[in-house]
Amino acid sequence: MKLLPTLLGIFLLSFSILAVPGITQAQLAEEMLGKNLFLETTTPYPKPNTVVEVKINDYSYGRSVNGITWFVNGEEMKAAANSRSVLVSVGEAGTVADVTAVVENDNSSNDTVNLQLRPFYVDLIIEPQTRVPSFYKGRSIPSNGSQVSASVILNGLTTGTENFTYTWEVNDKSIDSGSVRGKNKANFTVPNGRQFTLAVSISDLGGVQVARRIINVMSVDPQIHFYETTALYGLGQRSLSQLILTGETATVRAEPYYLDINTFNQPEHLLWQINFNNTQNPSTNPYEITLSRFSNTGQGANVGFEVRSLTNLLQGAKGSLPVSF
Amino acid sequence: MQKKFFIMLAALVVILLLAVWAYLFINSDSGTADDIFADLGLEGQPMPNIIEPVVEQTASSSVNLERDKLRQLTTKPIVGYAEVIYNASSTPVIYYAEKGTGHIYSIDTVTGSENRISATTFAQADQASFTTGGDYFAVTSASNQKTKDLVVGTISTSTKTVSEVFSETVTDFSLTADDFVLYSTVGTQGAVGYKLNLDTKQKSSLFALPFYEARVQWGILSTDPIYLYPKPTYALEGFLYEVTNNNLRRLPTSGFGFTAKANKDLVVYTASNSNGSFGYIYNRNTKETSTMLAPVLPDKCFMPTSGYEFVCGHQTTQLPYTYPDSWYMGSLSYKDTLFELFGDTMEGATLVDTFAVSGREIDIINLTENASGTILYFMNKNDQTLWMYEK
Repeated sequence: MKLLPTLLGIFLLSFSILAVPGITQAQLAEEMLGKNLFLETTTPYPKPNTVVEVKINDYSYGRSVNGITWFVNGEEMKAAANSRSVLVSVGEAGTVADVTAVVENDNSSNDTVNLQLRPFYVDLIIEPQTRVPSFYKGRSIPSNGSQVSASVILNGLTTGTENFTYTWEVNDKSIDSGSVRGKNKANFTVPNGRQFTLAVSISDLGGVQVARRIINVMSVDPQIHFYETTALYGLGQRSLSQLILTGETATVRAEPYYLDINTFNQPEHLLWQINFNNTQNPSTNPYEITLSRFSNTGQGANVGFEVRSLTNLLQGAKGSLPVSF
Repeated sequence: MQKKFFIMLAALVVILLLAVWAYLFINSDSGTADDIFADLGLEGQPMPNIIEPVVEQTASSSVNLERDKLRQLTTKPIVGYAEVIYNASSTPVIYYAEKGTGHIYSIDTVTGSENRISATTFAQADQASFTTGGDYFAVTSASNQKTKDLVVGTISTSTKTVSEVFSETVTDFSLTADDFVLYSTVGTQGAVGYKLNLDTKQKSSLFALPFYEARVQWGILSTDPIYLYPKPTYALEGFLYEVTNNNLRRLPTSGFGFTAKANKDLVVYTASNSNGSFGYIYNRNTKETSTMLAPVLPDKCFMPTSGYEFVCGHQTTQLPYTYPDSWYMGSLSYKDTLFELFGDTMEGATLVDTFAVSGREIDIINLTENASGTILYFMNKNDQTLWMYEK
């Protein structure tokens, strides 16, 4: 019943607008759709010290574009006159490249659109929670089933972390079931396989994505290295390929690189072997064993070590050390 | 017949011997008993009838009394050293701390004499630092944890002790030439850095990072920029940051297996790809990056706070794709040559092939240069002994 009057009202309103002198179809579109003339880049966010292509988008402009004059940081780019795009060299992180396009339209009037490029770095830092000895100057590497911490640094932006939302994904699965405001860190368990993908999407509070970074992360097997340790000097820093027992005794520590910290601290299976026979290790540190020579005949021995989680069998390693005396 | 012949022969021999004895008895001019026993005819007085050969003197026959340019300063393993100058008129001495005990020794650079100047024991000392004036000493002991206990003290050469003035749990530290201790420790969100004036005990913040595993290149002075990056591994990406006035600024260098050393003009760094690990020099003024033909390891380099000239230990060999992990693990070592390099022209000059000169496998770490730029000091990673090279 009410449909007919409604349609009639819309028809009359449209007719009255079109009947107003001086208003063209283009202006109508401009009024109804907004002046949809803007600048856009081909990259989601510019990286510092790169060249960025800035394009003019007049898809919904509603007017013919008769000429374009480009300005970058106030300087006219004459080589790009009337081009629909311009190449802009952005500087260091934290700097601003101000791009302006003055568009001459078919109404012999000018419209000005502007875009500010603020280059910044998106650094994704992985910190595996796996074992390396304290003297080791490098970073540990993830292993299957180990814990990993990840942090993202937006360097070059003045906006604080709390003004963005972060969505973290491992192998395309969201860690937090969605985006979380201010969460520039994530913790997760390494999935099985030789590598996995980690992605982080960063959006402003208006929901506009400002950055996205995806990386492949390598996952390795834990490995054992042996080091000699002494009461005076502590742990040696040369990995032993063999031990030549010159004195009566020597203490050796097995260092399981890249073993998950939880497995290292509470090993469910830890075994020392001498010449492939299980041996009791009276040392207070289960990763250290004191070896004594048992003859002077120039014989050798083989020392074996294994540590493993029984709930995650890939979380483990074993190695052996030939001993000469 | 035969019997008579032998008797006559024996009598003749006896007569001859008597004649010789009589001649010597009458004509000989013997000296004292000492002279006779000393005159062995080997290195004693020359025999009068020997004619001395004439040796032709040449211009280069002077004896070279100079010491070798490459010298080993300690035979014991050490954990830190510094060239110390007490005042403008004093000659430099070298301070070093012994590994394991933390005892401090000084070496006179002129006489070479060594003295123990502190007998205070720091068990399992594993890292030490000195101020260049010799007033302060800092040491940490080995730990199974990522943090370790730092003790900073003053050195009393009269009592041969170290008196503690500051202690903290740290992950890394350094003493500066202007008597500050710079250190990093574990914060709630990541690594945090501080500097403490050892004279006034005033403490201020240097940086607060959103991650924990950071390698820090401390400044020589407390006001110098600090450079830091996530600890390197071939498997993960690293990025270089510069810290000035508590502001963290990213520099345009990054990569897998990323290690770096930087100053105001240059960044020397390694980064790896599927073909191996490579060395690069980034010129901060021209903003250009050049690939090094022979990649150097920044851990083996000394760079002043500005300028294009730097010095590195280097073995010309292809870096393994697992660099730097295998080197840090101690399963890979090098026999280094010292090079002087110029980052602007990408030229270099060999200073000394340490293996060819010393016959020792010297894997150079902790390379520094003295204040006058004439001497390089470094440690051998293989046995942690201290060496020097006079340019």
